[in-house]
Amino acid sequence: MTASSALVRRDAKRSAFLKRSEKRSAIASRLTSADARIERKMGPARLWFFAIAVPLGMLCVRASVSAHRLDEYLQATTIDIGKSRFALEIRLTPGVDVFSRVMAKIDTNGDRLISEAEQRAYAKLVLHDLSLSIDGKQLHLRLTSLTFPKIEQMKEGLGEIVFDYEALVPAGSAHRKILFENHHQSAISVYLANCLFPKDPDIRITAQSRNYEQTVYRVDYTQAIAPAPAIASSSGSSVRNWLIADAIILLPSLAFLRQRRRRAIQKDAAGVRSNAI
Amino acid sequence: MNALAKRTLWILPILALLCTSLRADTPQAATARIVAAANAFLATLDESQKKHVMYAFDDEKQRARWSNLPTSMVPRGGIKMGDLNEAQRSAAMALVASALSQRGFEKVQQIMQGDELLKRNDRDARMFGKNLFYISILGTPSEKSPWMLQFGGHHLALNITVSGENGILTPSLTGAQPALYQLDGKTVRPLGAESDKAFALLNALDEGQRKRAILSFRMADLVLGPGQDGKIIQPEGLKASDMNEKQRGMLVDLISEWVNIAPDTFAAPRMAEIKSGLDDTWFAWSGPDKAEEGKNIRAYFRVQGPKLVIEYAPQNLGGDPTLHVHTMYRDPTNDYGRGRATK
Repeated sequence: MTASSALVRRDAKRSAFLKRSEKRSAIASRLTSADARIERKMGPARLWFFAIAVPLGMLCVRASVSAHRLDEYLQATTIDIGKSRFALEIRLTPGVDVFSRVMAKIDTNGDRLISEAEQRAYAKLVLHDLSLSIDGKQLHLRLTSLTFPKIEQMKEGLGEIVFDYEALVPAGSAHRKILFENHHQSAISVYLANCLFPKDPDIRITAQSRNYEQTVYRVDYTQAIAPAPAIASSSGSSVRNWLIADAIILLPSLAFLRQRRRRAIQKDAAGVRSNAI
Repeated sequence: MNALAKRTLWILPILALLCTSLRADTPQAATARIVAAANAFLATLDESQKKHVMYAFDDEKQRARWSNLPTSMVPRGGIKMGDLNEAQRSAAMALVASALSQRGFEKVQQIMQGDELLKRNDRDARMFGKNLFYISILGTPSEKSPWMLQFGGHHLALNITVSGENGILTPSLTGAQPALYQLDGKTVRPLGAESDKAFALLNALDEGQRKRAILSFRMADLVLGPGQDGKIIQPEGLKASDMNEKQRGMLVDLISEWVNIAPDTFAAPRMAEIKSGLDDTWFAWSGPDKAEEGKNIRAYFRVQGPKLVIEYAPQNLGGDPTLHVHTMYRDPTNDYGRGRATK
């Protein structure tokens, strides 16, 4: 079943339902005309009918078989934590009912095609609504790859847009805090935010917290900062000291040797000149 | 073909299953039985059909060609039941039955029956129904070399890797829509035990444990569903090491709903593996902590251990989420037998 046929079918169901509702209303008005007292009661009753029963009926129609995402824009993010780099993947699946609202942000020239430029522009737009920081410092996210499904798939609530971003992570302490926020199209979206289990054994996630909608995701982790081995450190400094000492000793010697050589050259040159004369 | 012959052919998988359940299998015998069923199925096919069914064992695209979605939306590889004659279809189902436990095969049939009901209610034979389940074989059925059986369609993806004495059922997806229906006067809930056991476990936790197990945020869907092979997320919730023995037993019982889809000979070592990592296994719950008697829960839950990920996600797709459920069963360290079984 295509999305359009599903919608057509749903619309048909809705109109059939409304026709039935109208019929019921007509019957009700016939009844009310026969009894003024009942008519007075039917007025608000009819209002209630349209206020409650119609939307309820619509819901029932919506509750018919649906294999695809409907009125939500699912945005699932995973963060891969490394010592010097974070990789962030965001998978975006617009539901059938919100497709047009998502598409409006992507297909900016309205030609019903998604050009490469529009894909990149949308990745930037999404990026604008994301925020990633570490220890309170904002990180710069860079787009590394993007995948767009066919428009037909998206129309059916199946297409998954995938953006991969990366951020270089400045060195920091052993205890670090990530704050990730995603507010892209929040009026129609549902969110998932998770961290991949770190591949680096030196990194250990110690806490995760999110707000109810998962638009704000905080991760605390520790990373073992390999302390410079004591022996390497001392030998390093001793080498440095030795080099300085050598330089102190050698530089005057080199200067003395250079001066002697210059004098010898000048002497030879004077000898050559006198021979030539 | 007359009605009696047709009925006999449909009974064959059930008979095969009965024979299986009556005798205690050794791992070798289980593998031999599945290989024999696979060869019997292949023998019913013509050359053109065989070409559709057979793939290379390491065909990564075919391995990952499964989904919770209807086959009209996400095309599967292999051959669909609707394209097989009665004898071929019977042999195909006998093969599926041979690779599953009795309860596992029952569950599969209930999921397929649910889809058949969708077809009838929605009158859409292009999207739903038993005819739209696909079977494929990756590699050559063998008692020694690894190969794989795939069977699935809407709300079902069984990826069964057979490698000598080992049988791996991960990754597999079971779903149900409707997740509760009436058939021959009986109420059927294909994934009802999963829901009931998780709810019972939640209710067996004390206040402190519940606080840790219940996540404070909404889980809108599976995190590690189709297309998410090889990923491991940071676990959260309540650790089994913080549960008492009774609760740990309930957790193992819950896990068994997925592990025991496989026959005993494959399920037993898998369960031993899961139990060995039980201390590091987490139980997390998100959503309402109430459920109506005889109905499925409205909440999402996840069980995650060192070699296990189970997710249960009611689908809020415009209907009653208790009637539409997706579940995922993975071993991220050994999906498709990549990690251990086929080495």
